[in-house]
Parts: sequence; C-alpha cells; structure tokens
Amino acid sequence: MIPVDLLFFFVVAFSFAAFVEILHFIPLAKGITDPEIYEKMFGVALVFLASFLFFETAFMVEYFLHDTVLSKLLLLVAMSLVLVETALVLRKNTTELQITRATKEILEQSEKRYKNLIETMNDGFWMIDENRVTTQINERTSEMLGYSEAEMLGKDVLGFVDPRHHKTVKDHLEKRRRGMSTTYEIEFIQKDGSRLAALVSATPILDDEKNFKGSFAVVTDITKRVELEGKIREYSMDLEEMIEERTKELTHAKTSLVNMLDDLSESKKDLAGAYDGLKDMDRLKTYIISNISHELRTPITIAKSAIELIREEPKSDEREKFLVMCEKALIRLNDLVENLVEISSIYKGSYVASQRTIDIDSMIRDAIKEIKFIAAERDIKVVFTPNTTFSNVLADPKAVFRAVSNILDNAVKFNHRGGRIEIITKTAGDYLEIAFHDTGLGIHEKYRIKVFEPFYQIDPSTTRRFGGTGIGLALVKAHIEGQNGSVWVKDNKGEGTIFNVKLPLAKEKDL
Amino acid sequence: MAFSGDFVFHSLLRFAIVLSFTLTLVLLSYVAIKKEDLKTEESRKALKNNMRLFWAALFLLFTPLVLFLVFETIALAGLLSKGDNSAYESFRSLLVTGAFLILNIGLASSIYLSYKMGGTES
Repeated sequence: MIPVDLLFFFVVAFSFAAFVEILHFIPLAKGITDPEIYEKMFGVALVFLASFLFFETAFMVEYFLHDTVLSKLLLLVAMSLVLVETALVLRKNTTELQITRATKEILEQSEKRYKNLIETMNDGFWMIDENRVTTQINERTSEMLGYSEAEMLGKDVLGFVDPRHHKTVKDHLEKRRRGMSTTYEIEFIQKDGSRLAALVSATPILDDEKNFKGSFAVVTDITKRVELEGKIREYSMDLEEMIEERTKELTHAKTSLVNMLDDLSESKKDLAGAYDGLKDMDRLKTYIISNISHELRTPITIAKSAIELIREEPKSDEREKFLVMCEKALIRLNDLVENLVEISSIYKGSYVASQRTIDIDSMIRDAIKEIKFIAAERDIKVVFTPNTTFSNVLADPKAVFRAVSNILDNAVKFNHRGGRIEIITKTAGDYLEIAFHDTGLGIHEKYRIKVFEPFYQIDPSTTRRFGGTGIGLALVKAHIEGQNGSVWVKDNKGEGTIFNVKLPLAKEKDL
Repeated sequence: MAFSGDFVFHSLLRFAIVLSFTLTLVLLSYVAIKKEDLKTEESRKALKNNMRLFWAALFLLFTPLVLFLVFETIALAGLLSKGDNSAYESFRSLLVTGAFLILNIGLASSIYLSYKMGGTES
C-alpha cells in the first residue's frame, strides 16, 4: 500500500512543477495570433483538457467514492501529464517562439534599415502595384515633384508623367510585366506645372510563381544634366556651323589654289614653250654664228676676188666673165639673206601674206625658167606635165613661188648629173596637188619629217658638198601651210624623191 | 456545520465537479471534432479579435490549478504535523468548490471562445 503522505508529497511537488511549466505558457500565449504558433497550440490545449479530465476524475473519486489513495494517484497522473506533455510542447514552442521573435526582430531591423535607406537616398524611390497605383514613395520623390506623400499614394503613376511620355512608360511597364528591368528617361509634371527630367531605373516585383505584382523604380533628377546637354548641343551646333564655314572657306581656298596651280601649269607650259622657242632661237643664233657666217663669207670672198681680178684684167671678155661670177655670188648672197629675213619674219609672226588667185601652171613655168640654166649645166632634164584643166589656187603668189623655187632648187642641187625632174599637177577634191619627182639622192624614211625643220641637215658633209643652209625646206613648209596647204615627201620608187604640195583650189567667186 | 447545510454544500461541490467534467468532455470533443475548422485563417483572425476573452478563459482555467496547489500543500503540511485536520477539511471542501466553480466558468468561456472561433461567428 502506498503511504498517503508520500502521495501527497509527490502530488504537491508535481503540481508545483506543473505550475512553473504553466508560467512558461504566458510568453507563448502572447504570440498565439502568429499562424505557426496558433497551429501548434492545439496540441497543448488537448493535453491540458486531458489533464483536466484526470484532475476532475480524481476529485470525483475523492468526494463520491472517498478513496483518497486513488484520488491522489489520479491527481498525480493529471499533474504528470501536465508536467511532462506541456513541458515538452511548451519548451519546443518557446524555443521556436524565441527564434521567431529573433527572426522577426531581424526582419524588423532589416525593414528599418530598408526604410532608412530609402528615406535617406538622394534619388527618388517609387513603388507601384500591378495596376500602376503608387504604393510607396520616399521623401525625395515628394520633394522632386512637389506633392505630399498623401497626394501621391494610391494615384496612377501616369498622373504625374508628362502626357508625351505616357507611351514610353506603358511600353516599359509591359516589359516589366515580362520580368525585365528597364532604364529610361522621361519627364514628370511637378505640382507647380513645371517639368522634371528624370532617369528611371525600374525593376519588376514578382511573387514566388513569377507573377507580376508591381515594380519599384529609382528616379534620378537629371534636369541639370539635360540642360547641360542642351547647352552642349547648342555649342556643338555652333561649332559645326563654324566648322562648316571654315570648311567652305578652305574649299574656296582650295579651289583658288587649284586654279592657281592650273594657271601655274599653263604658265609652266607657256614657259616651256617660250623656253623651247628660246632654245630654237639660241640654236638659230649658234647656227648663224657657226654656219651662216661661213655661207655668208663664201659669196663675199668670191665677189671680192672677182672684183680684184676685174681690176687687174685688161681684157673685156675676161672682165665680163668675172663680173658674171661676181653677180652670181651677190645673187647667192642675196638669196641667203632673203631666206634668213623671210624665216625670221615667219618665226616672229610678222610675215603678211596677201592671198589672191594665181595660175599655178604659169608660176611653175616661171620657176623652171629660173633653174633652167643651172639644170642645163648638169644635164638635168626638167619636164612639166600639167594634168588639169583648172589650175588656179588661192594663195600668196610670192610665198608659193618661193616654195616652188626652193623645191626645184633642191631637186637640181641634190640630183645626179644627167638626172631628171618631172613636175605633175592634178586636182584632188578641192585641192590642187603638185608632185615634184626627182632622180636624186633620195631621203631615208626616218628623215622625211625632219627635213622640214629649220637648219636640219641629214648629213653635214652633204652640205659641204652641195651647199645650203637648211632653211630652204623649212621655208617651203612655212609658206605652204601658211596658204592652208600641206607638203610632204615620199620615195620615188627607189630613184629619188617626190615632194608633194597640196594647195586649195580657188573658188569661182574668188576669180 | 449543520447536516442540511453540509448536504447542500456537498451536493454543490459534487455538482461542480461533475459539471466541470462534463464541460471538459464537451470542450475536448468540440476541439477534437472541429480541429481542422479551428485551424483556418478565419479562426485565427477570430481569436485575434477575442484576445481578451482568451486571456480571461486562460486565467479562469489556471487559477483552480493554483488553488489546488495551495490547498494540497496545506493538506500535506497538516498531514505531516499529525494534528487534527477536521477543520481544515471543511475549509478545503469550500476551496475545492470555489475552484471548481471558477474552473466551470473558465471551461464555459473556453467553449464559447471555441464556438466563436470555429462556429458561425468570427
């Protein structure tokens, strides 16, 4: 049998312990509205109610059955139940509560820091829900726009945006609905109606299922920056205008320079031409000094000798012979001087041609008469074959005569003794062609153009042998081309040369 | 104490004990049966709205336990002193009656609170 006093002792001891445990319930009960604690409290409640049943049963046993020992045993069970079960549950829950509280504290501190951060940041903070309604702003946002927090909370964000930027905001909101963070520049309308340029960096707020729940944005006032950019743009435009102006000036200067260079190039060409002319003149001068002086001296010497002989010769026949010699020498000298004067005047451009209609046939016959004696001395036969019924040309008679004479003179001079000279005329379109065939030395193909250059000698020894200054053919070319005609030379079937002269035929109105 | 008075007192004591046992069973059954309904968010909010009643019920439920501890300690002391405990026994019965009456009020309050939490009201 269990002693009653011992049972009493245990009942009191367990009751006291249970009371102490129950005290732990107080802090737990304070957090009962917390969802997690609330759910766990059901176990505690059931244990308490079960212990109450034992408690009440114990008293029923005592007061109905008057069994003190069973009553105390039931009380002991009731207290043990309260003590053991509640102790386990309460301690566990108390620890969880402490953790929950600590977590809550951390969360509260974190929230406090977050709020502090938002409130103290230099930029505006703006949070909206999925319907664009403003849910949170910081003080800086209120300052920037001039509205109070109460005036902004619960309002559509577009109500504060310049209508011109509504589309931009909507587009970016659509992107945020797709989970994208965006940054863009817009203008807000401040409470006083003025505009505020701002850079908005917005981030979407998504729940655990990635559903769009709104977004928050950091709003930076860039009004000053925009103003500066405007000024920079203005400066840039001014600068561009200046550059454009300078570019135009430079282009103009470049054009002037190019024109100047063109002028210089022209001047250079002129100078080169002048230099060539000077070179020719210098060559002419040198030639005259070295060669013409010799050519001039020869007839003078002959004439001087002939005059001395005339003075000494008593017989009139012999004197006559020397006089003829003297006359020839003077004629030669005269021809030479005439040629020099003519070519000089042509080169200077002072030669004046007087064109008129001339009968070329009679002119050729006159020229043949002049060389007839010289040709006869060397047994050279001169034949003229006019092959045309109309032989009138429009030209300067003096020039054409000089040309024809010079060609015939050369044909005789460079012909073989007993040779032949044939002159043939024919019409070719509007021109009259005169061909001078000779049976002389001939001219190699490579010299056929050069022979018309002034003072050109194919072989200097030939000059010594046949005489001549190299002016004759140059004069021919100058005179013929001066009459709008042309002159060229070709081979006479390996037996000499053919000089061709082409002159324009006179029109009926010229007659 | 007169017989008739003693009888009434003991009848009251026994009634209080039986009533508390019954109320405890009712409350236990109600909580066990409506456990899921009581765990809902609405029930939690209902509790949040009736915290005064909650604290009152808790106080009324715990007070009898404290009283019980007190008179059990006194009974133990008397037992250990080996003296005459008849006077104390009468006083103890009075204390037990009072404790069970308080407990009954606490249980009734708890049933009402549970009804408010899990019932039609919130």
